[in-house]
Amino acid sequence: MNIIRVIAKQEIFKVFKNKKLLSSIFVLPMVVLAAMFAMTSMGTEEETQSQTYQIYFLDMQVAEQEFDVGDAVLRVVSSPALSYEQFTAENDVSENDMVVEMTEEGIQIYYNSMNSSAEELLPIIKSNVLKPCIEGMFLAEQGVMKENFEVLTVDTSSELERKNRTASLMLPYLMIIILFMNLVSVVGDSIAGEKERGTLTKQMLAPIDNSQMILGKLLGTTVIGMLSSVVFFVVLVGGAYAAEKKGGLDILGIVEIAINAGQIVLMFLGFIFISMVFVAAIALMSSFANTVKEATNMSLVIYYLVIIAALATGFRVGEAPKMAYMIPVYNFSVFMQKLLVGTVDIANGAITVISLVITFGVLAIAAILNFRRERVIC
Amino acid sequence: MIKINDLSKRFGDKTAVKKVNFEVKDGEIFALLGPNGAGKTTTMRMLSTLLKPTAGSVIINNWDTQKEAKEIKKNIGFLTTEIRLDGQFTPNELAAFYGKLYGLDKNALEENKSKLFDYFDITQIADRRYETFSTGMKQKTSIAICLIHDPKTIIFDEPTNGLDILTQKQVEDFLLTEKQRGKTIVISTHILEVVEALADRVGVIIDGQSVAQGTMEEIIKGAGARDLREAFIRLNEQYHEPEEIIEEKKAKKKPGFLF
Amino acid sequence: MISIIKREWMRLSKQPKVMVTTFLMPCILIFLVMGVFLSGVLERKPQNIAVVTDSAKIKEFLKENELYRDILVYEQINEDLETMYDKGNVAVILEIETEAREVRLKYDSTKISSSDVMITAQEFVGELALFLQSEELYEEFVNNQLTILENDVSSVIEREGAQFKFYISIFIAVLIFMVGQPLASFAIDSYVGERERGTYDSIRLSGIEIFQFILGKTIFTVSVGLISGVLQVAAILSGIQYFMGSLGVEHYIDNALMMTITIVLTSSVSLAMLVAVLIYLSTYFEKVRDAATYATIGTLVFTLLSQVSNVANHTVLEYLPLLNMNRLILRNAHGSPSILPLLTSVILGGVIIAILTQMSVYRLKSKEM
Repeated sequence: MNIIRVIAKQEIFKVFKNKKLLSSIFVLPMVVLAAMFAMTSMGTEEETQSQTYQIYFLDMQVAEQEFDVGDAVLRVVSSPALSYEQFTAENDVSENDMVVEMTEEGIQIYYNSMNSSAEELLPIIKSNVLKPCIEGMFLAEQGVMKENFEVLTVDTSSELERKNRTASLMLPYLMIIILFMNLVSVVGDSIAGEKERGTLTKQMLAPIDNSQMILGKLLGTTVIGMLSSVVFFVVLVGGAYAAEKKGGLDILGIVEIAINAGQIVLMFLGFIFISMVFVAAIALMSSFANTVKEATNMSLVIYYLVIIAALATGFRVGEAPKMAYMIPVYNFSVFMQKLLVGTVDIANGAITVISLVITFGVLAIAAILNFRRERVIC
Repeated sequence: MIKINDLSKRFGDKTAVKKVNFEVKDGEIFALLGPNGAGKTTTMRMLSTLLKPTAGSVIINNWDTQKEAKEIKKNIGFLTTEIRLDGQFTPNELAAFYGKLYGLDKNALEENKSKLFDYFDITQIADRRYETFSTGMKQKTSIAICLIHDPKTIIFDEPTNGLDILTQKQVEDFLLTEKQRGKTIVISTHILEVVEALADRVGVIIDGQSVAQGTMEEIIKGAGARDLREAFIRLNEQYHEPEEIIEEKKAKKKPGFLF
Repeated sequence: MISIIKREWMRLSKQPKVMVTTFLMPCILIFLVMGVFLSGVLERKPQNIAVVTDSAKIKEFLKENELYRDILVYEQINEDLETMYDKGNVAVILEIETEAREVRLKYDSTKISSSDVMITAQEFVGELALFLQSEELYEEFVNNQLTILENDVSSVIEREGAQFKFYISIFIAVLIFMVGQPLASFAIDSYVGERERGTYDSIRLSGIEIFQFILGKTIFTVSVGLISGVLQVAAILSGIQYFMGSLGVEHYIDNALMMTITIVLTSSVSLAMLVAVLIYLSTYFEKVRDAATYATIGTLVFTLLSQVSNVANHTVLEYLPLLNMNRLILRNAHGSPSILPLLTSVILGGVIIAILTQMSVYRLKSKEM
């Protein structure tokens, strides 16, 4: 154990001795993450600017009105008795506008699918405007007043969930990608780089097992990975606090409403364990490589898988199945997503951590077993 | 003490070392001499446990390299040109690191380090990064680091490669001193002056095979030469002679082979 | 310079692991990823509406109305319903109090995958109100209600153009990112790797000028990127063909040659710029491990920049290399091509590459002094 500690210390010492490496591992990702955070906040702000869509009703008795549909404003405009072709010839109808015309076949609604919101708004307009209009006309003919239900609409999502939805879809995978990138250079150099330079052989001459050697390197680089994770954690919390000033995340809301101390600890552990998994995976790839370039390129395979797993969280809606929390990397991404919207579940968090620990163990053992082969050191 | 029995190493269908045998006693310097590509480095790497032999055995101080590698590693200091030290560390840091790997306590480490650093004039630059040193200083630092644990057996592959004359002398004197202390020393080289300066006994290896062994006088006489240089050239020529001629010479007990 | 390029290709050919991870692996991954995303594995499950009521009449309305047959009915909110709501399987819960003519519509806006389910719920409430008011009136309304007909006034070309724009965005992001990542390690290795191995000095001693060295390395790295890019594009197209049948943009592309030329030129210039930037960046480092993270982040930044013309709409962007990829490819695939912006951006890209190369040369020269 002592030997493992000695080697691990040496690995950590190597990083801290090197200012450029230090900055690339700790400072640069902070800058990138902070920039991503700022961009996400800006994006959230821009989304709140609403777009107005005019709906022209040709020769139909409709009350002119405006109403909001999400971020869009729909303005109902009553227009003179013209056909669609006449109306569009005489008026400037933009891509965002729609025209409704009563014909013998039925009610024709003219829209342009180039309008980015058309697909979303069309069913809403049909349901909220046209169908009530049709119903209204029918009931007017019958001389009947409709007895509507009083509808009380309740959105059970929290303000935090609504505010952070965009951030929760983007940030987890950005964090994972940057964290992984960071570790490729450190771990790859620690194994393949030392092989390439010949310094690994010198260490192998000492009376230590190959497994002690690789464990020491894994331990050392894992500590670096953990420290890198701490930086991410601090930037995330700090960035959230700063974004709160701009109407972004409400860090106080997180502490008071949705996350308790146990969940914060779980998030921190998640960061630690995901970096361990990355270190072990890269170490395994590097143990097959003879040069840093080979190690970096081989680690790209894992990098792409990591990206895919992280991106897939963006396509998920609703609660992830329990199985999802067992899939390494994906589970961390989901876990972080839940955290950002303040709905972390301790049980699922625990499954995430256990899954990551097991994955780390399996990968580390594979790396050790591969490292013990003779040709690794020749 | 080192005993090598029928040591062989194959890489695919190429035999790098074929049934090499030699012994080295305590307090003796054995020089493995041969042309480039003869198999010297491969032999040395098998002695140091870095390579596993395809056949044969290496016994160092009654430990088998294939069964008790850890014990062997504790008691040998191996140096070769392919092994490098991490350039960003200073000699002090390297000594501390490798000292811990060899399980040295603080006092033993300090004692060994100061002895070696003083001898090789490293003390003044012990806090400078290794990558800033000249070739000679790098080599001396490498020697110091590889002997930080004061091993009983020293295995050096081309110990004076690229060194100036003064540094070369320093290294040679050091090895002679270690020999006086009863260490078992094996060096491999293709530089005859080094062999002449250091070796008690010489083993000539050509194309992976041991072709001659003995003291320098025995080698020279056996090859029918005037000096070691001529003996080496003759041995090489004789080795590459056609089979029939070799058999004929053997039958006539012509000088050239000692076994 | 040619000898540098040849040497690099020879060296690469002796590194099978690097060749596989640079050329083969990304293609396989892209192909598989396309399969996952395009073949609907990640399709969103349909979300249900649940009605909580003990009214027999409402249950009868649901049973007889084909539109609302899939609506779940509960007498009260139980654990099963709550679990389905939490998981997102039930998107809307309607608690109906028929006596008070009140409906409590409960939903989670962050879990609703599309507005259809909300619309259906609201329409259901509206129709139910009429049904409960008068069954005869409701029947008459249903039998005589006017049909709503949708007319998309956009042309096939416009629709395919939008689809094409989406494909191009993905294509460019994939190209720059997935080709750029391995290129980063090649670019860093160009100078720093050679220095670390000790081979840079022997190359310089052979009489090769620094400029030839840098240019040779740049050309080699770009050629690796282009080959990798071609293979990955082939993988993308094969994936689309295999999993979807066709691109669905055949009518839009009426100038395939010009489109291809634009893609090749803009991609080459963009990749070459990326390589030039990374090689210049590498001149600030002495060790590969120090430069690696910077290089990877540089590639990430480039990928983001390549998407700028997707969100920003200034005409001047068409003339700027890397930033113009989206717009130019879109423009030149259909209708009269924009030759001037294309040529301008190629020339500008060349100038930028030349400046970066010269800056790299200057840095290396100053190191030798």
